[in-house]
Amino acid sequence: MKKIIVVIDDNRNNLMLEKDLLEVAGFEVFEAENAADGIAVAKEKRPDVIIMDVRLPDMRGTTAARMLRQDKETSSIPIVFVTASIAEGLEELNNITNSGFIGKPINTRTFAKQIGDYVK
Amino acid sequence: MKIFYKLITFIAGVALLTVAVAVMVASLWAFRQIKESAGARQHTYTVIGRADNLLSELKDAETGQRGYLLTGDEAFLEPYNSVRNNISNNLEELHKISSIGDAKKQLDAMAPLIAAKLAELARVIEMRRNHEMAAVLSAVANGKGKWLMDSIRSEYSSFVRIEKEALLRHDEELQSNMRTMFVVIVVTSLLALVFSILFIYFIYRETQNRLKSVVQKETMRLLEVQEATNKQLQQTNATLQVSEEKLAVTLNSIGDAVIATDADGSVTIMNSIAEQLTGWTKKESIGRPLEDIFHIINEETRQVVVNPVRKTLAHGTIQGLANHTILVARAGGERVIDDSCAPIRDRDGQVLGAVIVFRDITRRREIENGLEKARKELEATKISEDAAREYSESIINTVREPLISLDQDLRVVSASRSFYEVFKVNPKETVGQLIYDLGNKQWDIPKLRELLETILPQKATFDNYEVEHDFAGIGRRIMLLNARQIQRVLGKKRIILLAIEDITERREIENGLKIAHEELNGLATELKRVAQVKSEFLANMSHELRTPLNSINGFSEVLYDETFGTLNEKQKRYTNNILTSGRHLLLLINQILDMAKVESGKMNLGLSNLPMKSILNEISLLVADLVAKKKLHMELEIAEDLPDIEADELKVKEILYNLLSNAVKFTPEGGKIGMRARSTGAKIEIEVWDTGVGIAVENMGKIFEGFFRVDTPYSRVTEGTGLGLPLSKKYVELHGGEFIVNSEGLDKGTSIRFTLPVVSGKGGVK
Repeated sequence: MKKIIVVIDDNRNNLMLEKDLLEVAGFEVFEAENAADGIAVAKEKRPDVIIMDVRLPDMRGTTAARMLRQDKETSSIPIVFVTASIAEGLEELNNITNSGFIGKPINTRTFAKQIGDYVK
Repeated sequence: MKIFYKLITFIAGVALLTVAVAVMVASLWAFRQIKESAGARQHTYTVIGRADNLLSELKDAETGQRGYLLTGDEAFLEPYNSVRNNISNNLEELHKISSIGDAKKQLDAMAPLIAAKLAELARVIEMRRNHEMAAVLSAVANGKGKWLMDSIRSEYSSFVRIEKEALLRHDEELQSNMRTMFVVIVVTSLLALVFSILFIYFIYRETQNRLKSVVQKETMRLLEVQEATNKQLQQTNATLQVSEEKLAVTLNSIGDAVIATDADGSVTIMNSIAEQLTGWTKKESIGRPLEDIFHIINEETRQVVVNPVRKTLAHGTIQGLANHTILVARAGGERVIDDSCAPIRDRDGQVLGAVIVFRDITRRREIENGLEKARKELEATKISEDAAREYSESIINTVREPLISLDQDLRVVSASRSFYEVFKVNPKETVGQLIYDLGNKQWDIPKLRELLETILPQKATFDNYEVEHDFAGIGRRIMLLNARQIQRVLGKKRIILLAIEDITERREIENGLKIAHEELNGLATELKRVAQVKSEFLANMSHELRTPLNSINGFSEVLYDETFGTLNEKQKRYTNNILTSGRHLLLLINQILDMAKVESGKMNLGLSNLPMKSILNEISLLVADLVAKKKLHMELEIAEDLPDIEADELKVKEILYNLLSNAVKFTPEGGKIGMRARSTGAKIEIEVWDTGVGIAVENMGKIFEGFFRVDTPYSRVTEGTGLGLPLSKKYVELHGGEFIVNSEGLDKGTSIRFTLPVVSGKGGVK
């Protein structure tokens, strides 16, 4: 059984890069380009990890994360924020339980392994 | 409760009284009973006695009759005659005194028998007298007389028995009554005892209570008396205090100095004039011998004069001081004084102390002495008055502010030189003119009129009165007027001094300043806003640049790694070029961002304790590959005693890496680079040097400007960002260290020396 990962990012290129890297590493990946879709996909697929950009078109990633945490079905899924805004809103991220942070640009050689560490 | 006890006491008292009366009544009744009973007994015995007499008389009569019968002598008939005459009376009386019905019946029955007996006796006596002796004998022998006598005896016995029985019954009744009476008396006595005890108890209680209340009342009365006494005492004290105060006030208001002493000559009282003259305070003086305070010498001989108080105390006389006495004050000052001393006596004329009164006549003496002197000086004064006038005029003319003096009709008396200069007028057209008329009525200013005519008459002084006026000659002026109204010493004339301060320019400057200040505030706000916009812009820019770089670097990295299929050599090289440029771009972005942060003061240090020796070695290892590639020689001279320092680890490492990689970059193959580190006490000093291209003198100033790169045949243009050196310098300075670049010129090598404090002064900053 493959581990499932949902990636939420509004930049299609990044989405593609992350998806490719994770699939090569043996994960099953589902995508979403905004927070609302991402939450819907997460509720449907019950992934092992959710990867999320902080700046999303419909809301901030942290808001989406809080919504996921409040929903019983998704409350315990680890969330990894991947963001290009270094040092911006790091405290905001610290307030979300069971979450991690990877800065952009990502290191393609270690990315899948970093994500794998969050899978139970 | 109290009323209840009183009621009980009352009831007990009444009951006790009732019982006592009852006992008395019962006793009286008993007494009467006994007395009555005794009377009855007496009576019964009297009755029986009478009855006995009666019977005995009757017997005597019979005996006498027999005697007569035998002898015929009439003398024997004496008892018989007596009986015969008295018997009916005696019988009747007996009947009368006998109180018993049955006894009376017996007497009634006895009466005919006695009568019959007497008749029989009489018949026989008659027979004798007639000498019928035979008939007499027969009459006596037939026993009729004896039978009658027996019958009488029988009746008599019944009578006595009845009387005795009645007496017996009476006695029994009495005894029974007495028994009842005894019981009644015992019971009532017991009751009386109980009530007595109750009564006594309650009386005792009542007495106790009354005693208590009396004691309380007495205590209250005593307290009141005590309070009244206290009040009286207070009043007395107050009166005493008032009189003491009065005395003190009196003493202090006397123009002369007063000191009083006790009989030993020690000071007891001293007024303020005495304090002034002697230089001793009252507090210090009290209790001291007078000589300590009142130190007097002869004016001419300067010998100590015997204190008059001693004489007064010794002789009880009034003493006057000899003339020419000088009082030497505590501080040494001398005054000529005039004094007298008098004893204080009690009611018996005993000397209790002395009082000395003295006054300072120094001034009088001086006035006397100085009068002549003064006369001489007056002459001199007159001369100096002219000099003084000149002096004051020169002062007035030196003052830059225009001054003008007016008489009471507001005409100009004089004006200072500056007045003429400022208002461009001359003395001729000014002095003697009404102020409003000055300079073609230019001075007819409503606010000036208000000051001179309304304000000044009420207030002798008025400062900073602002007047703005457009003068024909000199234009619009703003003036501050300071006015003084002075009463002349001689005569009743007054003059007005008016100082005029021209504040037109000052006001203009002030207004300009105000505007400038406002503009500055606006500018500061704007700057703050711009800074905010700038930092937001930088954050956004960094984000926007990183996002595409993520794709560029990510995809080229994946390609280069041939994750999804192999590349040919050229493709691989190109991919690598893309990757290298992307990384360079990322470095640039990061450094620009750091630079901006440092410049906006937002770069904070994360301090920790750094083991410098190992960090230096670590960084040198990072460049070891590059060094080897270029066949350079690297020398490390790290002092053994190099201490650990307090600093931001990442930034220190970045500084060292920047400098070492620069050294490698700008040194030709086969050259030397090196690093020296040593302690200088509070700081450590690190020097990174090379034998490379050096820095041309003309470029020395440019190397910190940013993006400046020295083009060399040994380094590719794309390799550096040009920001490493300026950023390193900023980091060093942020730590409180110095950063110095040395190069003797092109191709002479470069040496960069910087210091870092061992203990950071930025304590607490993260």
